[in-house]
Amino acid sequence: MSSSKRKLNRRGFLKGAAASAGAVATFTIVPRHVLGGPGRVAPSDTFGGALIGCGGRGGGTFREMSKGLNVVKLADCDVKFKNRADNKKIYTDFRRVLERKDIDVIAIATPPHWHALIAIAAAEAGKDVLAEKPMTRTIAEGRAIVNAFDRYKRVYQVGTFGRFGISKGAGNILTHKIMASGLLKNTEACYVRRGGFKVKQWSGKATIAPTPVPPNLNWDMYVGPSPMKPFVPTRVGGTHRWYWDYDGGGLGDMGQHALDPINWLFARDHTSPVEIEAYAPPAHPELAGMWGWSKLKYADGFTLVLESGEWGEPSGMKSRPPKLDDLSEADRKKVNNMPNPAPLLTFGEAVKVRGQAGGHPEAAHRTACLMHLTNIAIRTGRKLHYDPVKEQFIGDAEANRLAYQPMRAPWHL
Amino acid sequence: MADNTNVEQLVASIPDLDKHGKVDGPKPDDANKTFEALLTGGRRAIDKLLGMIREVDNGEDWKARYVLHGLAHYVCQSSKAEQRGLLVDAIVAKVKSDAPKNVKAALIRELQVAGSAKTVPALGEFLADDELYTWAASALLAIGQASAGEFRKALPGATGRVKATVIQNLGLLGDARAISAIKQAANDGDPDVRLAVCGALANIGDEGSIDILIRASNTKGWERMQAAKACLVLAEKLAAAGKKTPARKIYRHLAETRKDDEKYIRDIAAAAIG
Repeated sequence: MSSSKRKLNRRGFLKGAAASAGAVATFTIVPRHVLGGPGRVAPSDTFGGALIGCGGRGGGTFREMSKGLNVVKLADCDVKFKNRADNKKIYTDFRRVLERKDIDVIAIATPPHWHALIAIAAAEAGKDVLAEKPMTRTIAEGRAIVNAFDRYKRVYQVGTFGRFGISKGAGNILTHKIMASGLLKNTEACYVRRGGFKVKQWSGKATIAPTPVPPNLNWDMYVGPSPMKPFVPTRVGGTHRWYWDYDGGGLGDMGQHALDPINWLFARDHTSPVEIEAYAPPAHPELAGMWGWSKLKYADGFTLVLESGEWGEPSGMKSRPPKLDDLSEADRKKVNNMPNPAPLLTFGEAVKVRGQAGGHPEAAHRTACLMHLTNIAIRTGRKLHYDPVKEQFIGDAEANRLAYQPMRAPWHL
Repeated sequence: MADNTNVEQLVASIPDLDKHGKVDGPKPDDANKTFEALLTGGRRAIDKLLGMIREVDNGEDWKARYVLHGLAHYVCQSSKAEQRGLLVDAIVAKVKSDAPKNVKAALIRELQVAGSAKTVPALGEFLADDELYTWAASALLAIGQASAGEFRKALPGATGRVKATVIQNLGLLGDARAISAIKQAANDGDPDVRLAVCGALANIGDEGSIDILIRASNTKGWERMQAAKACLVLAEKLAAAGKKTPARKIYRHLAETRKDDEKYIRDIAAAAIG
C-alpha cells in the first residue's frame, strides 16, 4: 500500500465522514468488503473480529489471531452465555456471528468437536480463521476444512506455531529438502517422538455421574454434532479432552503441537502414513485412555514413532535422521540445487496478501491425521493400512467408520 | 461353554481404576484372552455380558461397558466373522427387547462399531423413536449404503429434527432413489429441514434440483449462506459429470445475485464460468 493510501486509514475515513454528516451515532466498523480486500484499494487496515469459544484458550487464540493485524473485537460467542446473550456483542449461536458483515476474522477456541464445523461455516461466510489446536476430531473433518478453504479462498491457520521456528534452521532446511526431494526410496530414516502428549492427564475418569445442566449453558448447542449424552460436569471446561465425543485425549489434543514441526521438518505436509500400528490397551467406549507407542510408516519407508512414555514398554525404535549420504552423488547434487522452501507466512501476513498461512489447512490436516490414525489404531486394536490419497483405510471398513464419523443433525460436513 | 460365573469373573479381571479413577487397561494380549474366553462361552456368555450394562451410566458398570466395546472392535478383525455374527445377533436381540432406552443407546453404539447390512432392519425401527433415532441414524450411516432403504422408509412419517436427520443422511449416502421424497420437504416450515433438503440434493448431484437450490439461495442470513454452498456443491458435481450447461446456470445465478458483501462467492462463480 502506498504511503498516501495508508494515510487514508479507516479511522480517518470515518472521522471525515462523520464530520461531513455532523454527527456520529455509534462507532461502527465498516467491513473490509466495503472498503477494501483482494483486488481492491483498502483505505483501512482495521479488521472486525469475533471470538467463538471464550473459555480456556479463547483470549490467547484471539490475541494470536490479531498479531500483525489491527483487529477490533466485535463479538464474543459461547454456549455458556445463555443467560446474557444480546445478539449484538454477546452470542450463544455462532451462526448469528457469522451472519454479520462487519466481521472479517474469526478466532475459534471451542472444544475440538466444533472446530471443523465452525471453521467451514466461517469460510462459507467469507471470513478468515485462526482456530485453536487440534485442528479436528476426525480425518473427514480435516479434508472438509481443506476443501472449504480451497473453495472459498479464505485464510486458515491452526493454533500451533512450532513450524515457524523449526523452518528457519539451516540443518532443518536440509532435512526438509532431502525428504521433500522424493529421492529417498525405502529409507531407514526414523524419528522417535517421546513424551509431551499428556496421556494420563487427559485420559478420562470412568465413574462420574450425570448432574443437572447448569442454567447458563446451552447443552444442546455444546454437544452439537456429537451424540447427545446426559450432562456430566467433566464434559465441559478443559476436561472435555477426556471424551472421544469432543477430542482425542492427550494425543488428540497436544499432538498438533508436538507433531506439526516434525511434519514440516520431514516434508509430510501433503501425505500421510501407509501403515499404522499401536501398542495400547483396548479403548473405553467414551473415554480416551492410555497407550504405549505408535509406529507410523510412510510409503518412502520413513517411520515416525510416537511414544507416550506413560504406559507399557517402549517401542525399542531409535531416531535415525535422513542424511545426504543416503543419496547417490547425482541425487545429492539435485538436493543441493533445490531452492530453499519459501518462508512461512503468519496468519496476519497471509490475510493481508491473501496468501497461504504457514499452518494452512492441508498441512494442519496432515498433522492432525497422525493423531487420528494413531487413535484409530488404538481404538480398533488392529494394525492398519491406509491410502493417503483416498484417505481411507484399506480393507478395513470398520476403521473407516472412525475416520468418517456420523454427526448429529442438523450438523454435518 | 462358559457359565455365568465365568463371565462375571472375566469382566472383573479387568484391572481396577487407578487412584485417580482412570482406566489403566490390561495389556493387549491379556485383553484378547478375555475376549476369546467370552466368545468361547457362546451366546449365553454374550447375553450375560449384555445384561451387565446398567440403565444409568454413572461408571458403576464401567468394566462391562469396557469389555463389550473392546469385544465389538475385536470381532471386526477379518478372521472373526463368525464371532462377529454371534455378538451382533446378541446385541440386536437385546435392543429389540424391553431393555431400558439408555441401555439400548449404549448397545446401538456398539452396532455402530460392529453392525453390518444384516443389522440394518433392526436399527431402522428406531428411526421413529424420539429418544433413540440419533443413535440409530449414526449406526446406520456408519454401516453405509445398505442403510438407505431404512432412511427412505422412515422419511414419510418423520417430522422436525428426525426429518432433518433422515434427509441429511439420505444425502450423505447419495441416495438418488430418495430425490423425489426429499424434494417434497423443500418448503418445510423448519429451516433445518429445508437446509437438509438443499444439502442432500446437492450431495446426490441431482440436475433436476437446480431451481430448488437457487430459490433457497435467495433467502437471508445463515440459510442463504448454506444454500449458496449447496449450489456450489451441486454445480461442482454437475461440472465433474460433464453437465456443463446446468452447472453454468447455477454459477450464473450466483454471479448475478450475490451482493457486494458476497463478492467472494461471485468470484468463485465467475472463475467457474471462465
